[in-house]
Amino acid sequence: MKRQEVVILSEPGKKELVVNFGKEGEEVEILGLIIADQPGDYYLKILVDHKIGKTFGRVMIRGIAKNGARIQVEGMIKIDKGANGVDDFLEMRLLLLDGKSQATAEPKLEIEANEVKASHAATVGRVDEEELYYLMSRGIGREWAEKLIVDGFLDQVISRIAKIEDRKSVKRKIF
Amino acid sequence: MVIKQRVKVSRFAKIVRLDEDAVKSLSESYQLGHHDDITYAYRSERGLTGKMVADLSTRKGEPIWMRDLRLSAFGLYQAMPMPGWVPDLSGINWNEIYYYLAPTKKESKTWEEVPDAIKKTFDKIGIPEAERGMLSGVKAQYDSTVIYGSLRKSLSKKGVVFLGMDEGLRQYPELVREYFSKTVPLGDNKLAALNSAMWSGGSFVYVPKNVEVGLPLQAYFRINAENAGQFERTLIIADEGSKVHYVEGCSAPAYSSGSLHAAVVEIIVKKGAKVQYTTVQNWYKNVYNLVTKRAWVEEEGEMRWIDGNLGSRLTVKYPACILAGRKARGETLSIAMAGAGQHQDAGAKMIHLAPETTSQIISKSISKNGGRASYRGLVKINKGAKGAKSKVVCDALILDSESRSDTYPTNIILENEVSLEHEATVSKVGEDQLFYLMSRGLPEHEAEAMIVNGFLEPIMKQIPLEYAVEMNRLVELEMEGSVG
Amino acid sequence: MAFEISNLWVKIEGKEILKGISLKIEPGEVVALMGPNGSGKSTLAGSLMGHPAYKVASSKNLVLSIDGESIIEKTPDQRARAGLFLAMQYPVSIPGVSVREALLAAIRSRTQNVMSALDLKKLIEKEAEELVIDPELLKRGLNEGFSGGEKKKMEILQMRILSPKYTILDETDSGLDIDALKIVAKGANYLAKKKKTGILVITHYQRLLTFLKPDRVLVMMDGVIVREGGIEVVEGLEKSGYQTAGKSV
Repeated sequence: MKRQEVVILSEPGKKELVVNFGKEGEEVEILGLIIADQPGDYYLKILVDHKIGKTFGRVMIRGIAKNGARIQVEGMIKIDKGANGVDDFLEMRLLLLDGKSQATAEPKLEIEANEVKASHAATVGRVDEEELYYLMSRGIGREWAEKLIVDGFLDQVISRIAKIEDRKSVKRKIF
Repeated sequence: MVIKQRVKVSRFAKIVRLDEDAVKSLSESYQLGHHDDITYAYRSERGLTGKMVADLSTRKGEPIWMRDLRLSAFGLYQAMPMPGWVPDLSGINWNEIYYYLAPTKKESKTWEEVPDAIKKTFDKIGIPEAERGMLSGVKAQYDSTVIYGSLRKSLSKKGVVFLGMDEGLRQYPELVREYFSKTVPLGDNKLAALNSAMWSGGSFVYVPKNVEVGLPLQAYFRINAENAGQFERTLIIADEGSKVHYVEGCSAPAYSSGSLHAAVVEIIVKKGAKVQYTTVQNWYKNVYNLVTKRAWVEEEGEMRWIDGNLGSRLTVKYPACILAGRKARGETLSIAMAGAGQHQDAGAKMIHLAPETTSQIISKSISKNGGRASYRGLVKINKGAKGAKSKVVCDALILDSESRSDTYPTNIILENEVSLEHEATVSKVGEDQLFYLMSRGLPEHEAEAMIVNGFLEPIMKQIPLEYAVEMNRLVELEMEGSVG
Repeated sequence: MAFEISNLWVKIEGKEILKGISLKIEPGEVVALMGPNGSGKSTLAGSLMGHPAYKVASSKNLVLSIDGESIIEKTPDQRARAGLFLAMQYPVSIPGVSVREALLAAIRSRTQNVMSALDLKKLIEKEAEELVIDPELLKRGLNEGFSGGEKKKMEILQMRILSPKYTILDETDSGLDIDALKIVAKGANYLAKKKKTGILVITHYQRLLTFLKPDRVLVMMDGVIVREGGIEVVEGLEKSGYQTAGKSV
């Protein structure tokens, strides 16, 4: 049984998402998006709580910060004792688009069962110079190249949103 | 020994103010709580008094400024609450710990002068061989006083100073005064304040400009009496362009009541200097090991912490580097093994203050038989630290269903022209890997021990051979279950 | 004296994969076991070595013995010490553990063989040279970052040093080029002729068998042995494929 939870933060403020599992075999995909383009604090907290074994989770978070925004993302995968057969992976990638913005990334794990697969990855940085160079070498101006890269970056999450209407509304908001 | 209650640990205290001078905020960060619940435990200190602190200083014949420093620290210790993120310390009875013990009157200069009982202990650890063999000099500690030390002639000719901290203060008071408590300020945290008030023993190392100390300097520690608290204080100053490797390893015999080890290590790495500090910690499983270790790294300096935590009931230790100068580099390689009744709460902190600084944290932990291994880390890249790069890799093995592994990293990025990468994986020993080695004839426990040692290998190979061999053996013993 | 298997029924997660396999390998004999994908060949290899995932479905009339000694109750390492070796199809990688470390421990686990670490090192280097294995790989974690062919050759190196009584080569030929195949065949032939090792070669291609000539050929399909014969079986398969193989028993 596969379901999807989407959380989007596009204004300063705080959003929390707790994901629970009802029974074995459940699969949940969690998508998080932070578009922080105003000065202020943006705080996103996600907790994936595996109390039951043989549950499957995938968390994918993408965030961009500019114009003096400050983002803080906390992503916790928790696997209770006895919840064997859990498979979960959390990925959070944050881009700082100018010198005024800041980010705090906190990917966390609390694992009390051993027959599990759990890992996470987090990166914080700016737009890759190599990627920019590549596009610019094809004749694309820097600003436009950066926009293409950022769009592609966010699209990695947006394109996974199952409900078409939601996808459209997110795109409208950003682009 | 079994921990009866599951301890709820509050999260790592996060730094709230995002635009402060990092050193100042480091001290504050231990105390500030913000949008979360942080529990404070306040302990009464009937056992320890200001008079005891002053008497200690007088007995040691210290200069007035050091006595005053101790008293200030004591005042802070009394006033401060226990740091919020420290796991359960209710097993320690603060009033019952004997804070200072001095089994012999003076520092012995040769092996013959050391009391017999102490000799036997060191025989077991193998100090005479080590001293005669590879190493430059050995400072050994027995219950708060440096008993035995010797320094090879060639080192002292080069101007390298390697003394007990007490002796270092006596011979080089100006140097000590300049650096003591600058990297770890008196009020940094409650345990550091306690150490600053009651410190005794530890090492003082000074390496002059451009001098390379070819062989590792090492020291042994030992907690040997009931309820002995150990507050050794180490200060290492590596002057510009110098290079030194300091090794600290310890073991303790069996006790029933809690033993406390609250050390402070301060290291100053000046421009272009390279320092490596290796610790192999195997305290007996009733010891509380709470250590503050921090290095201040200047331009193009390199600091590397290698931290092996196998013993103790509870270890709380996050070797830190403050990368204060351009192109400074900090590394922490950490191994933690938590067995029955143990909690290893280890990790690292890297604070990037200057441009083009780099840091790397590699943490490998193993939990078995109900043990708990936690990684707690902080990477902070300050505004202005352009071109900074940091990479963190945490791998954890959970060997059975009773054990636990946690990862609590905090990455605070205040500058955009930087890159930070962090990955963490939790897994168990693969059935296929076990089958493979067993199919070649290895019995299961041996196969498992081999795989676990292989897991630790990337860090082990950075540790001096003697220690690596001892550590491998300890890991194998732990795997067999014959230890503790 | 033989490696004897009789009435072996094996289930994986409740599904029957091997349905009453019986076969016998004499010392020095080379027996080829062929069959299409999914016929149960690798399950047989894993079951003989005692992989925990393979459950013996019935112990009625079950015989599994090495030179008269039953290994039914034995763990993989006990079976190894009884003289069995399995060159795996997909050797797993073990980070931080070099081939020398693993072999030293393996040798020391058998009471008959006492070899110094230095002698073993030299022996490994000699074998690596003969098998054309890059000496760099000897220092790395076992199979870490090795190509498929390098992994297979590393299995053969270990086999030659451990000198088992009976060895199972599980699809060792897949992923090897002609030169590597010849080297592997040479190694196996040497063991069969000079050391009287009994060899079970599991494969579904005929290539290796041109260099490692089998004394007998068995064909397995759907967990059952459907055909037994000499080298002509191989030629027959080459011409008509597996579809017709089951027709003559």
